[in-house]
Amino acid sequence: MTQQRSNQQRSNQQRSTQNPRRRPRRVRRTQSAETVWKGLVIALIVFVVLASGNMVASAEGMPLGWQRSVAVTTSGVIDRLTNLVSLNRPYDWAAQQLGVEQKNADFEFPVTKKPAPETAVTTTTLPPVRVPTAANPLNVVVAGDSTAKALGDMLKSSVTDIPELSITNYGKVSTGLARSDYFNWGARMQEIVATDAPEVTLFMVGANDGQSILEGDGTVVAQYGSAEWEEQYRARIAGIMDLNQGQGRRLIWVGEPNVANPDIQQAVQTGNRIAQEEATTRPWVSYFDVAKLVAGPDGNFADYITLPDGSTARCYAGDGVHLSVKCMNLVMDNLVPTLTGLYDPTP
Amino acid sequence: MLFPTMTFALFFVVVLGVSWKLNDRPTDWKLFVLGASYVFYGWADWRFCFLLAGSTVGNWVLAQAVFRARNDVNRKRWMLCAVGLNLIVLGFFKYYGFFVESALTVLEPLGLAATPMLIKVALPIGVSFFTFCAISYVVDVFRRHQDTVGLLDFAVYLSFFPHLVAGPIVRVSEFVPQMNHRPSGQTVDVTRAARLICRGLFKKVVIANFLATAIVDPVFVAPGQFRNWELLVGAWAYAVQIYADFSGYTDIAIGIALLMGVKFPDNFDQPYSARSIQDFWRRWHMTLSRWLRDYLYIPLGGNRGGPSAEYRNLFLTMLFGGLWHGASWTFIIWGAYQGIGLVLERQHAVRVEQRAELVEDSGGGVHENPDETRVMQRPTPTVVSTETMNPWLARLLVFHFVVIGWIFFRSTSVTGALEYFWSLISNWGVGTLVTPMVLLAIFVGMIGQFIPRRIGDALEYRASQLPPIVMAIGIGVFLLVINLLGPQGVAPFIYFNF
Repeated sequence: MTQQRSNQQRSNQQRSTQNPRRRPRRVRRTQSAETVWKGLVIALIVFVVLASGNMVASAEGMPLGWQRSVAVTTSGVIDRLTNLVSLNRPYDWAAQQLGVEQKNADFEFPVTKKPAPETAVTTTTLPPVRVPTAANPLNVVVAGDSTAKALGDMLKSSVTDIPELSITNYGKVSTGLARSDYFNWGARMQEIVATDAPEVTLFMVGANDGQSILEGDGTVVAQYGSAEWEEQYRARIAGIMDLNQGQGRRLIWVGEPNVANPDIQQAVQTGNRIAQEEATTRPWVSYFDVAKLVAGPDGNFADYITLPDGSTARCYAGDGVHLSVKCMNLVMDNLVPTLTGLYDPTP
Repeated sequence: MLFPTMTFALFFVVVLGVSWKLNDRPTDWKLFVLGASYVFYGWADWRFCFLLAGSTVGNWVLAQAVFRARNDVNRKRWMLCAVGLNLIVLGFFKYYGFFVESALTVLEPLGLAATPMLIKVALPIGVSFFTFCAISYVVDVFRRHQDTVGLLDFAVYLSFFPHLVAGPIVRVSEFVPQMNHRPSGQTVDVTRAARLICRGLFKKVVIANFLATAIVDPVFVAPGQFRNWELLVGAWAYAVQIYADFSGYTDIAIGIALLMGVKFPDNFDQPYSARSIQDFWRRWHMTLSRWLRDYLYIPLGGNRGGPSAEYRNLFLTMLFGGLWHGASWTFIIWGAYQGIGLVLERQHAVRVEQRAELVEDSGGGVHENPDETRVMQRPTPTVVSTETMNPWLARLLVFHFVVIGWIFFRSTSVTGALEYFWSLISNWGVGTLVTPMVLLAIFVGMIGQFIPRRIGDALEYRASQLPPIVMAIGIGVFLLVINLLGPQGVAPFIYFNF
């Protein structure tokens, strides 16, 4: 044994004499597949348990169906259990500090019936919008889904030479009016009106609303495609409009463009129609028709359109929902004069 | 299905567990992985699975025909038929709209009324990647570099989910042997895999997504509206974003494959530390560069036929590489720009070499170091102009050469790119988009290009010594941090479009 050890020492010494600069090769420790699999499961459990609140929010954001039901139930149970021992507190605290999560405050939209034909057009006049200056610009807020976010970004870029307009963009991707459990635009709009006091609001939603309508607590109040759905959706559109009433505020409801997917298109068209109907009964609301601007010759979705200068342009991004830069420019050519026309009626 | 989602995490837990259970039964393993890969691919739109299946069967049959052809003429015919069909499929899905639009642009000013079928063709995710894999197989069989493989092997190779939608572009010879000789389930290199996956997630979810939303998307939508400082930082940010996005995806793909016992080749090697354009292309999307070299540059003639033929082939290869990225003039210009850059660099290197040889022949005694002399005597010059400069100046120049190319690459139109350049030199000012966080994200994205590999390896070694439970908890916490730091929602990977 001693002989063996001294032999080994000698050979080690020899090796180090032969190549004094070479370090012994460090071999990474490997693991068995079973250990790896268990490790993966543990890592995911750690993540899910510590970020259980985030998991619930993600699950609620899934499309309706059995997958969502399973995800909501499972994440809800995990969240309640981790709440008991406060394991999710550090994540929630850090998320709040970093501004990652926004509290989904409760807000219930009042039920609104379809306006009767005799009340469909109102002639009430509002005081004119104040004439803004570069020093005191008009406070314009853009809100809604990802189409609104793109609209807001483009609008900001388009009015850099109009210092009388100040644009704030609150567009949020994957949102709409149908799923208050995921994002409650009623509550958010209430907050925006209270804190930002916008003088003009541009609101644009609909592309994500081809689904059942849910309350903030996840209760399904109307299945997509039913008569109740249209009634409930109307209530939400009207609710957003009414939140913008008062103090001379104006709301420009920006209709969604037509979209390539027929299922979504149906929801978009219904939403646009309801918004137009509701706008006619509210003098502070006007409807801006994007679908008409970017429609094909038959008035429906067209991937390519002819622009006013006679050129042909592809109007949509690859998803068939969001507009291309060329068509967004076309929208801006019409929207910016609409905005400035609120305080400067000269063409 | 996107990698950084809970849906994929749950999918992978099941696939990993079952995959190793079937490790000793290769046929069952292949059937299971094939099924899992089709679920992965069809998750967003199941109709694309038919395209993948069609491509698999079609290419396999044609490769068999190439292999069994009685003479070289027939072999070549079958090979060309396969390559042609692949390019037709790729062309239809990827370039239909581009050619129709370009034709309209030409015909309209001439007053020719054209009413082509303006249909919208949905681009199947990853079609370029699996088409290139398929072409490489057929051509390798034609060249007798590769025997034919069974249909099941070929189907798994083409559809294997870690590399299916955005590479790396793996060869049959690298993949199939690993399927047929499965590694032991006792030696999974989990530390390397975890390092790659965590690094990839950080690059994609935190760096790339943040830079995209904070500065890149706005400045490229309407560059004329921004100040030149915003545009300059926006261009740097895009360079970091595209690297973080694509290399992040590749890191995750390689790490996931490694957990399943399959080794993929590297795809990135600190590309922004390159000291020449040629060096950059040896470090950026390495498997595509390799594919272009073997299946385009060499068939075109490579460096045979003198310098002018070499320069032409180099230029055409880069031009095609640009077109591969998408159906747009911006990509073609980007490819041509890279091609011209490489040709000029090569020409300069030849001149430098000739001058050095002259000095040497006249007994100048400059190259007394035998190693250096050997480098100068190489038949194809690979010593390039910038490598003789101060290394940091060379890196700076090469980086900005690449950044200029990225402006074309990212712009939505040629007019948009030109507007970007014009605004960069004319719209003097600072603007509001450049925040400390944006600069920090760029810094973090860039610093990784210069950290010596040995530091990462040393950390990896130390991590491998940790007890498995500690490593698992650490990974869980790391995922939590990524989730906190990244913007909400997961943007699709940039290279899914290509």
